[in-house]
Parts: sequence; structure tokens; C-alpha cells
Amino acid sequence: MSASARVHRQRYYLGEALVVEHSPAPLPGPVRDRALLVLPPLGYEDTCAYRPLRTLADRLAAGGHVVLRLDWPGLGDSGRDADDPALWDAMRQAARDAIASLRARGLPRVAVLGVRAGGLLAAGLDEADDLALWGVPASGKAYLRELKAFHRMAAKAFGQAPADAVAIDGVEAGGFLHGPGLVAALQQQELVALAAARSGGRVLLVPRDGMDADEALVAAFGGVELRVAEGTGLVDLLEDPYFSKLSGPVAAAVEAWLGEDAGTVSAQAPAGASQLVLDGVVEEPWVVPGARGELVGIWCRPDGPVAPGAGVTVFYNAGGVRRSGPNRLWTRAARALARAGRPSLRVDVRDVGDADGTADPHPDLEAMYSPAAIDDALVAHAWAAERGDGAVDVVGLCSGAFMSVQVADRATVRRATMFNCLAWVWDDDARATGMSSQVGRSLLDARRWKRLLTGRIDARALARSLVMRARLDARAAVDRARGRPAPSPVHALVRRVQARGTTLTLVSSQADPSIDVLARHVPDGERPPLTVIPGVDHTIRPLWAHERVVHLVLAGPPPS
Amino acid sequence: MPIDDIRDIVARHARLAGDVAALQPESDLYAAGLTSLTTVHVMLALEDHFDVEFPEELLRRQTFESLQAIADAIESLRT
Repeated sequence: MSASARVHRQRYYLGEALVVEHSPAPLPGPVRDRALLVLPPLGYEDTCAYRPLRTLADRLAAGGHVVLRLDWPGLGDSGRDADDPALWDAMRQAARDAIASLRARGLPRVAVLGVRAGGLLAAGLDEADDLALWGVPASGKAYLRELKAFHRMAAKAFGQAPADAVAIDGVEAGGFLHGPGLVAALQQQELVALAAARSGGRVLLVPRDGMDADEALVAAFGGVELRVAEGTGLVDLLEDPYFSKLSGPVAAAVEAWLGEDAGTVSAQAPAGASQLVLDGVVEEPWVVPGARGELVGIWCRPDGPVAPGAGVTVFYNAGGVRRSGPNRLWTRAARALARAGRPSLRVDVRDVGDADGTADPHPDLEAMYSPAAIDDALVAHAWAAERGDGAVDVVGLCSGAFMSVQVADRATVRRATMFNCLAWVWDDDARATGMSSQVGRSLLDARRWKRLLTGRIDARALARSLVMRARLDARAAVDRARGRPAPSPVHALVRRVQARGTTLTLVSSQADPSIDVLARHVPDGERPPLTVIPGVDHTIRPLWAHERVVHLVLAGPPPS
Repeated sequence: MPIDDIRDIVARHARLAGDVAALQPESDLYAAGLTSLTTVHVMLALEDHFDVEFPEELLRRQTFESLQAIADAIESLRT
């Protein structure tokens, strides 16, 4: 991670938008005179692209540029909700504020990189001197159509929604809502018309993978200096939050384009706000040193007195999803807690979100469950314990649930709320579960085997996992036959954690393998209570279920 | 409807790790590794190549589950 080591990052708020600034060194100081504002995709695409775009920002900052990344209003750690009727206007304002802030600090030229729907907004910004557009749809209507198609293709994993599921107003995709106001604004956006309205400046077009730049769009950019890069890397950027990666050719194209003719100026330090004040909530960036650089999070507290005995709730990452949580659920739950007088910390451990660590794609699941990741989780716990008079609740989904119970095994935790915990301990059995869960529950399904054999899943790794599982099962059967069954490490962990005084609150999606894991390892009668949510997938999609998740986080034992 | 054109588009946009040339017309593309995201990419490439637009009722997994299913859907849009 040489790039990370050579750049400086600072987090602050411009209006209601959280901004992460990357610069070659702490400012004031000399930088290249062309800064870059990155406007990310929306919704689930933003979740997937977050880490690779951070990697890109580091690379450009290492080359001398000031780069701003922002969380859109309604997403991540910025203000507003997804159903805000004025969201598009708020997004435009956030982008304009960011450009204005750069100019006010002595940076004369500001380029904007817009990815996917972020590019539709970028293309309409007269304030941008130069424009880079990556995988931007031809129109807002085309984009919304893609979202609908994506949602329908993914819907098979959700199962049957219960009868009382609330209908959604707007467009849902990947666990995120595009509310009616945002949809109406997107439907007005036509990229060719926006391009035709631009005059002067430079434009870099990066089409979708394997596609040529649209001829009408190229013609519409007639009045600008246009460059077209090879369309590559968009699927890698958007396919999965944990395995997503930055395209080398696209990064190189943006770097060369941004640096062309760039001189040097002295830029002032940023002057953004250190806190975001919402209705009943105050948030601020949290940065502490970890073993491999910065751990980053958001400290969220009531805008008023803290409830007696509230303690502090710590939210852990779900796989590669940043601290705002799966489907932005941790941000939503944290703010609901704050309005109830309860502070919280949502945190990125190493290699995830905005924390330091690797800039390379993860080759496997190991990093999520590593002792190093647990160490980072303990750093966050210790910080929270100091501010919560020792009372700490922890919340996590999937690997975050693993993190939660592992922290509870090492430190004092009042309550652990664990969603879809596939691995309580990271051992061969958990590896087998983790691998097999990637192909669903039915390993005897011939179609799934075929998928394995055609390479989407690492068949060799899965085969190793299945051999492990067979050995473990055989050994367990022998032990049972001899009348001395070996204690399950998961069962032992549950006992230890409960003996330490932790209340375990377990939640699983109806068809999730986490239910089998619990049943296999912990005898009936000793299992912690389990709440099952029907009709949702592993990351609690679709949207109707999100209110239940927030309710489950808010519920639990009353503060002592 | 030249199914080889569809096969070529699937080969370029579906990111299947196996040999697309070896797929039978009825082979299950999802079993071969097609994902929700890559389905959308294939759909857009098909629309570009064949100058058609899949209506909302065809935006479902069954439409893209095999080369033959895709060919049938495109044929229905061109007649």
C-alpha cells in the first residue's frame, strides 16, 4: 500500500455531505493546480464502488492532486433519507459546494469524475472545468430501467414476502431506494442534451465494458476537447462490495488526463465543518490509529442528554460493506438510537471502507475473519467502553456478527445483536460453511454444481471445504458412537460469552445457512433466542424488512 | 435469428469462466455463472446489437436463462 503511505486524508462536512479529502500532504502546501471531485454511483453500486474509488483517490493524491470524495445526501454518512423529495437538488448542491470549496482554497481548476448516475449529475454541472464520465447511462430513464432489471433478476433470492410487508414507493434495487422525488429528477436527465450544453473544457469518456462510446454523445461533445478511453472495469467495480476492484487501465487513463498540463499552486487547508447536526443527532468522523494505519468511523450521539445507562453501541462491517452498513442500515439504526438518547460508533476495520489496509482486491474470505480484524474491532470497543461507562452493545451482520461475538469473548459486552452469523469461530468448519453458502444450501443441486465447474466459484477451494466438512462430520460421528462427543467450539463460545454476562440476540433470514450453523453446533435448549425474518436474503433485502432491523437494534434489554 | 451472434455477445459481456462456445442453446446460463449484474450488461449489449428494447414484462430471469430463450425473446420483439 505505498500510495496510502504517501497521502494525507481528512474528513469533514460540506453542508450535509460527508467529504473525504485526499491530498499529497497536509495542507496548506503545494499541490497540482487541477483538483478532482469524485461523484460516485448511487445505491448498491455506491456500496460496491466505495473502496476502489478510495484507491483511485489515493493514487491521484500521491501524484500531487487534491481529490474530494463525497457521500451523496441520502447515502452513506451524509444527511437526509433516501425518500427525501428534494434529494436530487440536495445532491447538486453538495457537488456545487464541493467545487466552490476547492476554488476558495486556491485551486483554480476543478475536474469532476462522475461514475454511473453520478455522471448524469456531473454532466449538468456548469461549475466543472473538466469532466470524466465512467459507465454513465444514456439517460436517467435508461438508468432506472437497468435498476429495475437488476432488481428483478435478483428477486429470486428474496423468497416470499410476508403479507404485512409494506409496499415501496419508488424504485428499489440492491436493497436501496430511489425515492419518487429522485426518480422524477432522474427521468429528466438526458446525457446527450447535457453534453450539447457544455462548451469548452476537457472531457474523458470511459464507456461500459466492451462497448464503444455512443456516437451521438461524441457528436454532442463537439465543443470540447474529448478523449475516449477503453471501456473496461465497470463490472469489476460494481459486482460485489468485498471483491470489487479498480480497473488499472481506467485508473491510468484518469491519472494521465487529470495530470495533463497541470501546474503547481499553493492550496489552503480545508475549512469544512467537523460535525453534522441533524434532527436530534450529532455525528462526527472518528479516526484512531490501528495496527495498520487509520481506523475510521462515525461517532453518532444525541443532540441532547444521553439516556441513563445507554452505554455505546458499536456497529461492525458486514463483509466488505463500509460502516454505513448493509443497505445503509447502520446509519439509519445509529440515528434512531441517537434520537432515543443512545450514542453509537459505526466503524470500518482494516481493509474495509475508509480504513487503511490493502488496496488490492480480496482473494478469499480470510481477511474478514482474521485475528487482525478482531484486534481492530477491539480497539473500537475499548474506545466505546470509555465513553459508555463500560456498557457496550455490539451489532453486526455476517462477518460483523462474527466480529461481535469474538469481541464479546474478549471484552465486556452487554448485548450482541447478530444478524445471519455464518461463522462463530473461524475454523475449517466455518470455511466449509462460508464456501458452501456462496452456492446456496443445496449442494446436491446439479445446476449449482455446474456453476461451480464453470468457474464462477472456486471449485477447488469448495472441494477442499467439502472434504474438511466430511472429515469433521465423520470424526463427530465416531465420537458420538464412542459416547464421548467432542464439544463444539461454537457451543463452548456461546457458553463462555453468556457466562461473561452478554445477552446474545440472534436474527436470521428465513433461508439463511446461519440457522443450520446454530442448530448443528448448539444443542436445543441451550440456543440463544433466534428471530427469523421471512422473505429476505442474506443482507436483509428487500426494503420492506429494514424497519424491522432498526426495531431489533433499538429493542433489547432496557438500560440497567 | 443467428444464435451465434447471441453467443458472441454472451461471451463478451456475461463473464462466464467456462467455454461459451461449448454451451448448448438450451444450456442454463445462470448455472454457467451469469449474475444479476452481468445479465443487465448482456441485455444492454443485445439491445444495442439487435436494435430492440426489452419491455418491462421481459425483464426477468427466464428471458436470459439460455441462448435459445434470448433468441426467442428477441424474435418476439422483431415480429
